[in-house]
Amino acid sequence: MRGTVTEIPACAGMTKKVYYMPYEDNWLKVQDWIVDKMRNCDGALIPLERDGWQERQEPELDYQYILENASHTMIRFKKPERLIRMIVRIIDEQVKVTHTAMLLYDGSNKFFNIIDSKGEEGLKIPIGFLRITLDNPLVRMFKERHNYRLSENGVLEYKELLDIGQKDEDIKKDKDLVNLIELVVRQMELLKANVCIPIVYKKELMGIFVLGKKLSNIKFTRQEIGFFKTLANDVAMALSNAHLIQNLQEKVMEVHRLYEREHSLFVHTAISLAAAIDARDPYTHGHTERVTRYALAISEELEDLPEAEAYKNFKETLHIAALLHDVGKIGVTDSILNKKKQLTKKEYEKVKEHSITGAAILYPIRELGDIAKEVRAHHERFDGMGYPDGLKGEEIPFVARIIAVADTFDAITSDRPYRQKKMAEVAVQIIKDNSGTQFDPVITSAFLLTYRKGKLISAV
Amino acid sequence: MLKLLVVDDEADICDFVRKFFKERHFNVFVAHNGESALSILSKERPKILLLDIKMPGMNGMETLKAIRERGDDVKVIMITAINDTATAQQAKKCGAEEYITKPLILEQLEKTVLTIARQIKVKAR
Repeated sequence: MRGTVTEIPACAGMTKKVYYMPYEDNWLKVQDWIVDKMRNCDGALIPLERDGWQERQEPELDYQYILENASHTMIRFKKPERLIRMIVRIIDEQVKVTHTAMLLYDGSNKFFNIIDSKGEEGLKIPIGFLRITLDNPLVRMFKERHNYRLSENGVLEYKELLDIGQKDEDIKKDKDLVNLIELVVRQMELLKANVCIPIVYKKELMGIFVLGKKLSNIKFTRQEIGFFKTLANDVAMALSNAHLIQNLQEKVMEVHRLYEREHSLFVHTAISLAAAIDARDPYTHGHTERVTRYALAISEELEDLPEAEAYKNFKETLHIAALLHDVGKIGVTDSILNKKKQLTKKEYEKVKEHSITGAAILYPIRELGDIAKEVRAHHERFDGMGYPDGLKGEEIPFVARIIAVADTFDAITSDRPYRQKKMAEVAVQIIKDNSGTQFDPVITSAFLLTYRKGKLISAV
Repeated sequence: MLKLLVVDDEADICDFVRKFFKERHFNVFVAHNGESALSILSKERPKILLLDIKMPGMNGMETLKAIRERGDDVKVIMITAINDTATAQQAKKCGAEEYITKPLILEQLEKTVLTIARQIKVKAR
């Protein structure tokens, strides 16, 4: 149904042919279609609501009904320029006026500009040709809301203004207003305007809708004036919607930019911190960076799991946690860290404290609070035999389980003072053998998959 | 009736300005480019020229220079886009009477033209 136009032929029970209007998409085509249908209109135009058909009596003025519906749809689509183009075009073709123009306030230049216009040769005010400044009497009239003293609906009609100063006693007494009316009359003469309608939203003058004479030279009916007023309101609504949306989009962009900046600052801080840890331990040089790379590579196979989705930002948590997993080594003395021989049991116990120390360092930092528990748990074993808390299976945070595998893989494949460098194949075998005991089998298989895809070998 | 020539590549603008000044009792001619402006100038000898700067082919500045080279003393009002005031100032040096920025204030255009017209009439007396 979308974007297409369907004609339902007259059938039993229907006295009139009914056209159904498409709901959205392709508005320019639809505008053409509307105008075309109005030219030889033999039926009412009925908008198709999402949830079914809607019936309505044929309106008194076909174009009015069509335009009203179309404009309400436009407001929903937040396309003020299109709405304005369509209004100007339909008024020109259907209402049959000498000319019509829509002026909109340009906030950056502080004047009103002709956005769209149509009309007879010489009467059509060229688009972008003239500006109406804030000190223009017409603008002052609308901004100071004197127009509501002159007419109930705030619409200014040239002929009414001509003798209103004589007819109305109240106005007659207000010399300033009488002067202003004279100046406004002169402005309307310059534009050859018969009717000027303010486009107002929340008391803010957003534009002015200008109409010439009817080609038939007959006065506009009250109904027509009321209708123009409705259109002006629609334009105001569409404009303010569009402004709101634009503001919102700008705000979202701003927040996004701020977030990006802070986030990159944050990651960079973590990277420098990690580099500082690495620098203290020459034998594990580059360890943090490699573990981070492996962990991120493995995580690509795990992203869709509910455990990953449970994180607010899985990738980021993993990235930061991997960078900081050994931050606690700051608390381990150089003599132990740099020892070339096998560590004594006591020394090993000291080294084991680094996961607790790391978590303790990170915990008080608001942004790193969630990372702390991952760091604390990165030496836990799936079977509950790890440290420091002996967590088991799912009790171990998911990110920590990934880091455990990446950490082990790097420990085996890289040079350590107490272990010879081993081949990657050996490391893979060890991890496979310890799946379900030391490592989470799900993560082991993700690791194996990543390894087979060559995403870890190239990194070794 | 004073002769006025409007030069603009936009037909809508020419139509609008023509009607506007016709109603203010000018005999208005229209040209859409510099070349045809020059030919109307020599044929009709208008007293006032409304000259757009940005036009395809011979632009307003070139047209103005050609007019002055010919020794024509037609009063020229340059009409220019708002962000092109530097060119407009240059145009004044080249012998333009006034320049008006677009989008323009209608009364300003009216006043400028009527003032120049009055000066011409006073001189002619």
